[in-house]
Amino acid sequence: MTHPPFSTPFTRVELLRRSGLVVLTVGAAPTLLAACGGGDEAAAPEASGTIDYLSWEGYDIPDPMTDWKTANAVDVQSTYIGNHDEIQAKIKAGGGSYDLITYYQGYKPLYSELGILTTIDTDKIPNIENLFPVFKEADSRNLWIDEDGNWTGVPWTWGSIGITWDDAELPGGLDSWYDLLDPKFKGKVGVINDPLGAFTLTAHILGKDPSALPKAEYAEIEDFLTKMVGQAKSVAPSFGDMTTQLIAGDIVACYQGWAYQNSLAAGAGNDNVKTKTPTEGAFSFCDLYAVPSTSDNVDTVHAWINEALVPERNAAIAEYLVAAVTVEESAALINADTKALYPYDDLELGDSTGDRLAKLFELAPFYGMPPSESDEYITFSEMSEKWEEIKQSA
Amino acid sequence: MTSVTESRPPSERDRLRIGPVALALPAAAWMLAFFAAPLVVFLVYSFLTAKLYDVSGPLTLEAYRDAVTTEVNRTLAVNSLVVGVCVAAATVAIGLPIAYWLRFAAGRWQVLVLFLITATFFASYLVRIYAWRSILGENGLLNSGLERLGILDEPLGFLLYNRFSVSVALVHIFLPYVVLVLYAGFRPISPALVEAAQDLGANAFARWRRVVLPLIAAPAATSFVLVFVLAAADYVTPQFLGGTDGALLGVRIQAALTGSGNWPLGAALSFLMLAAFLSCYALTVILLRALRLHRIRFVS
Amino acid sequence: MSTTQRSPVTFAVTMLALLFLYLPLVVVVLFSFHATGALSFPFTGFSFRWYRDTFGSPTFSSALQNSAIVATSVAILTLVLGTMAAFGLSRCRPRLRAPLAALFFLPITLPGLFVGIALLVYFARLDVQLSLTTVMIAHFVFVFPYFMLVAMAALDRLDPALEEAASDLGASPWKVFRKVTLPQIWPILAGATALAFALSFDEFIITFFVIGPDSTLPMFIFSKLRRTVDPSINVVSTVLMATTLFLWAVAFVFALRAERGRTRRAGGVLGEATP
Repeated sequence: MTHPPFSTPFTRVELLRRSGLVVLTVGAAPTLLAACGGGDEAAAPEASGTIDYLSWEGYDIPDPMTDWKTANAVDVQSTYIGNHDEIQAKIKAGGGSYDLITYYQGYKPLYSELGILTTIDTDKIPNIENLFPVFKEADSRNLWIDEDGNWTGVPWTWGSIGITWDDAELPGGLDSWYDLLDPKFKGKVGVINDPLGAFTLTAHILGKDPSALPKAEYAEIEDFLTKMVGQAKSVAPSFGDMTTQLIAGDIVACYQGWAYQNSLAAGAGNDNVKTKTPTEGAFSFCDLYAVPSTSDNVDTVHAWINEALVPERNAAIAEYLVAAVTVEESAALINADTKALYPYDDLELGDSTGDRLAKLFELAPFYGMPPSESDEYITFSEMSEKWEEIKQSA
Repeated sequence: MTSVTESRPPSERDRLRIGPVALALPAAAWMLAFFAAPLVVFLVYSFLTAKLYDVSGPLTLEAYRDAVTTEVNRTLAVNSLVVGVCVAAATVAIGLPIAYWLRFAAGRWQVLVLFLITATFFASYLVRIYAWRSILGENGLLNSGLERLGILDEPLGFLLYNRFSVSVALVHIFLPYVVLVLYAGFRPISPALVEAAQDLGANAFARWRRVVLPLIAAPAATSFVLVFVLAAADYVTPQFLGGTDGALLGVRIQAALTGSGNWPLGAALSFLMLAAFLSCYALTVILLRALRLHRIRFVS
Repeated sequence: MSTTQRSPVTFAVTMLALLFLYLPLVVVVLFSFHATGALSFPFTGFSFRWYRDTFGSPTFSSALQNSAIVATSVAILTLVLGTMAAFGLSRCRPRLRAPLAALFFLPITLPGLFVGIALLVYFARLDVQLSLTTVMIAHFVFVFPYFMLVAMAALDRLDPALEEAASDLGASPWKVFRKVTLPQIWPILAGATALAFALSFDEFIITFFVIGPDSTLPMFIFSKLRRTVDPSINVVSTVLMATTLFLWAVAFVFALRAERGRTRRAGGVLGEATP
């Protein structure tokens, strides 16, 4: 407008038109803002294309996600690992454009240092609200949440380590980790090639913190582990292989077993493999979906993660993996067998399921990993080196 | 070249000479780019400093020192040596009679049996590994068979997850290869020679010692060293069949690369192993030359 | 030509060796038809269910496809570059021969572990993403020396007099190759190409290090091996074995043809040579 309004003759038509425009604009503002994505509304993005997945077999949850994949025309190309270290090894060695990885919470400091993790855009994952409160608290145990409140991973499943055994050979199983050291099990114990897992479990059993273990105290761990590996004839390269040994009758029980092995064995036709947590407890692992720095399909991955946190979906996932749920409402949706794995309803632990899980995590904690450099505590590389020595000397 | 060539116009002669190099060039370039160069780069890496899943900085002998002073590596190296020698010896010892039979006693069956034996060369490396597990395991074919026949009461636990099972699988893998090499070595030898020895009164042992072995020494020695090298550096068989007793150095090297991300250590171990292998090859050549067994030719 | 002897000891060793070689493989094929999921005796019944499952699995189909693609590319490349290189090597200056031969044949003497790891580090250094292409590159390095061995053996047996005669009669080098050399050696080259395909199809040791997100058949077997094993792994192995066995048979037949052809031709040329 070139003249001040009151000096220009307005026609009725013009006035109407101008007020109409204003109304239109004002009314359109929220829609426009929302369309620009800068609004308060969080929404899962559109999914499409291929997700290049790198992690454990099973964690790409093919069956539970089938209909979502079909509905969104998403294809998942999976590369499976035998042990956790392959993830960082593959990504650092120019391993292509992986879009989706998982990581055990203990690996967070290492992965941040290696530059593998990107910040998750929690706005694109509205279902994050569905998680149990214990997973959303920004406390030190929840390694996936930064000091700045940024999330680098989303918990979608968790479990606890236990003794996995062949019930046909050993009815009832064993109650203590120390039972595995009994001479009658010589050559019959399964051990897996997972240095961090073995270290963390042993540290827990001996009452120590694996993420801050004074170097002088490592001797106890070495002693225990040497005895345990001495009870084994072979160090399995993967959980699947350890399960194969169990089914073939080469071993009867596993140190550092995992309930998923029950499902693996069932898949191969053997229903006798069971897992339970001994009296000394164990450590819990929380596996987090993460978006690596190499991803080129970030939105679809966020949509995937969001979908994994839908209550029905999370329940289906837990049943598929023989694992636990991270979504509060899912606890009521899982079948009896899956529910029996963990104390969702154990009144002694707390009043609500959320409280009970929080208590459980005090008993079977989420541990961190040894630091990459330290003068006082044993480091990640030292721990890995020592594991090689233990395997040879046992 | 003969005089015929020299009488051709100069331009044609030159074309003939440039030709071979140009023909070999693409393949040579590929091998230089993707075989020679990577080895050189890898060698350089063995002198770099390791950082977590990365390398950096100044050239150092740290990795080599690490490789040599760690006791685990020495144990694994010894394991690899022992298994390598046993496997090589077994394959050659079994391969020699087979090649002999094929060449001198098989007659019409030569082609078929040779095909059958060498065909197993292609029976997938991985397949054999777990096939032997299902044979040697406590509930495997061998143990259940022997128990069924009443020969055993308890399964034999020492068949699997040790150097023995690793060696058996490796012999299974390399035997066809050795048979082929030895058979090729036997081909130019005339059966008349062996017959002559027989006619002159030599028994089987003497025939072997004085006639066959000297003729076959070179191919036998070459295949021995080749199998030794390939067996000692195997990294998959020990993981599934070796247990804690039968671990080999190759597994450690592979773990350093794809597991703990310590590339300089993996490189140092690799080149130390390579140096050992090259010495073996050199030693074999020297030995053969010294015994004057390296160049025996017979017209068949 | 060859008189056969009787040699019971070596015969016995050979038969035992055949048993030793084939027993595990027969067990593998047998259990691919097992009605239950168990991989140990007793054998409870026949069923095609694992075959149905495996062939219906998309991961299997894509791995099979990838293996075929890589092996075909490698075979073709090896045939073309290998034939050229074999000619080059056999006819080049003596001074060049040793270094070229070393470059061409060295990979056979080195364990796959080294070749694979060196390539992994090399590709990482050059920021090249691992993929089926890197696999193909690596396979060529591995397969090429085998092809060269066969090709060089074939070229060694050629009678140079034939080629010289053709040149003297005015034929260009290309025509000499096409009309004189090629007819003599094509069976062996065809066999060597089949061998190259089989070697690439079955390759695991080097592939393990240089493969990206796409899988090949041996890698598929490996991931099944790391999982809890059921007869589907036997199915995949049987497929792999059948394919490579077939190709080896093809190569063998071609090699035999070449042998007989040479003997025939040696007699024929002398009778056919006319100005």
